[in-house]
Amino acid sequence: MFILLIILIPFVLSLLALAIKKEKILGIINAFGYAILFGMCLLFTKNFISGGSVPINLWKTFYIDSLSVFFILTTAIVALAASIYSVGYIGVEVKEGVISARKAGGYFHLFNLFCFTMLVVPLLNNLAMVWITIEMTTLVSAFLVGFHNVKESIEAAWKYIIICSVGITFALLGVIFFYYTSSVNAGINSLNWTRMIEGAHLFDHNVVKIAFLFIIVGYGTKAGLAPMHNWLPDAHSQALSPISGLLSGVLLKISLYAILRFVILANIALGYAFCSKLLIIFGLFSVAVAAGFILVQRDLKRLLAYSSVENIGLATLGIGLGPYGGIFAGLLHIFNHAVVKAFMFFCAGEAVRVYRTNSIFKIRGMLQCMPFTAVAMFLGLFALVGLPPFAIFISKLSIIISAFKGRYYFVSALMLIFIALAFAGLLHHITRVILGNKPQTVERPKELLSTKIALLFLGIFILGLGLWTPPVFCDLLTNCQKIIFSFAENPGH
Amino acid sequence: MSYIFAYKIMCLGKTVELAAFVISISTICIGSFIMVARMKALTQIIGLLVMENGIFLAASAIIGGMPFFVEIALFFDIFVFVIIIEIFVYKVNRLFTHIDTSRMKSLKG
Repeated sequence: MFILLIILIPFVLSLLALAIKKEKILGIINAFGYAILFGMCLLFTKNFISGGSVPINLWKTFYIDSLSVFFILTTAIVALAASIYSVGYIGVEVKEGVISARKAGGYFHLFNLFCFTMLVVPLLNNLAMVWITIEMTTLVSAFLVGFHNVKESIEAAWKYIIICSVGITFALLGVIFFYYTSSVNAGINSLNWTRMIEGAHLFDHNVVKIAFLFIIVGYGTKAGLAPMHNWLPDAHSQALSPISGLLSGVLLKISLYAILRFVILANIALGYAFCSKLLIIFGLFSVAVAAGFILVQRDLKRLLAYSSVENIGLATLGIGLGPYGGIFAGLLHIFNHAVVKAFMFFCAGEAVRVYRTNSIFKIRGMLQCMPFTAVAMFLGLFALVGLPPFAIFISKLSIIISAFKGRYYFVSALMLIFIALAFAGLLHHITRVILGNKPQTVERPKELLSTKIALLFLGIFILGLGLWTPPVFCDLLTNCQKIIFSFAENPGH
Repeated sequence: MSYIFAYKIMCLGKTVELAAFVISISTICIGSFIMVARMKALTQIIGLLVMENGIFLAASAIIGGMPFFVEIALFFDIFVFVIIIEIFVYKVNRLFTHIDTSRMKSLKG
């Protein structure tokens, strides 16, 4: 019941956004709302873990286990940072006349609805309802991508909505095939995940294979896996910066969550080998494609978007290497990447706001222009490429370790090469942005307090998790790993 | 191709089910073809709706339809999709002066 109160907060806030006219007050109320949400999530997680991580099943509609809790926690953290960042960002945009005060209200309304749909997805038990809510996230965020109503942003929003909807339509076909085999072969006439898992060992092998292919292509489109990633850089570069952070930090992961639920079902029916092979191929291909595009990028936010493709590929690879501790590494990577990428998008958003361009060649000398953001971005860059004291280093290392453990030497060699390429590309582009002399035309702006708070808040997680993993968080991840394997250990074949 | 898919993989026995399923798979293929081949914004939407139709036909052919609540929710979802996409068509038409999506080429690489 408590968890339902949590997801009610963004809904209430979205209604408030329609009622309150002053955007400054609205932004602050919004940030407070998300702070409460984050606090409640922490409390819930602590109680959940200390209560022995027993899955909660409410009226057969909501099903909450460690996996759901993990994704809700990630969403809550990134959403809180984005809402703090929005206060200053939207305030300045309104002051400069880029958007009207009425539109700012609309922004907060959509922002809250977007967070609401993303928080609901991990709670649902019914797989078709999961599909519907994921489609809803696309529809709500399309307006946020095309917010500025200029040619580029409308083009990005159009691509986003069309490509994601088609992709997700294929996922629906996959869901229907799963439903078919569960009702015909296992006699379970229900789309509830908890029911389907009981009969999953009776599923027909061929149908499950086809269905899982549809699922991974469909939800993979939304997650930004490589051959279907075309919408991602457009949408991320044209969206407002707080939204870019949310899109890249959480939205991609939410559809990965949907894939994970089906991975569990398919594992029971087929054993891990089939899913593992597919996930490794898609993951590796994403890393490869993204590494290539990172090297030749000319747009700061697109650069970060391609880095998201790379990291989501790594996380998928980690999940594919599941039997060798890869699930733990993959989920840890999902969390770390969500935090770091939101951090980087906020820094880049500040740069884009001050320089009024996205081009890497025109943004120069950030260090002279806005010292705090530039230093933060420099540290964030080191965290993103995976240098030691930061958290991503640990998750990347453990993905590589699990690849070696599984004797995937070729895969790990390729992965290392592509990671090195992406490392070089990111370092090259972003150091040029930060260092150098600033153009004469750009004056030194005042750095916003809300941005600093948001960056510091995310910085705690980036650095803190690198140095020390809280036992509660560790338990949570271990439980997730157990969920994925506990069912697969007693196969029916 | 749809026939082979239906016959070999899904192992559908009854003729009626088989025929309906073959038709639905073909509909989905045609829908995706329309989306890829046509350049107008509206025809792309039509392609997507054709695909959705095919999927509903598949669902009712092989398992006799989804649970009631799910179907209502799906219907609502597609309804919202159409409304939102129409708003975007309006915006595209105003900004690009035509609903030809091949004019969208400023975002690359």
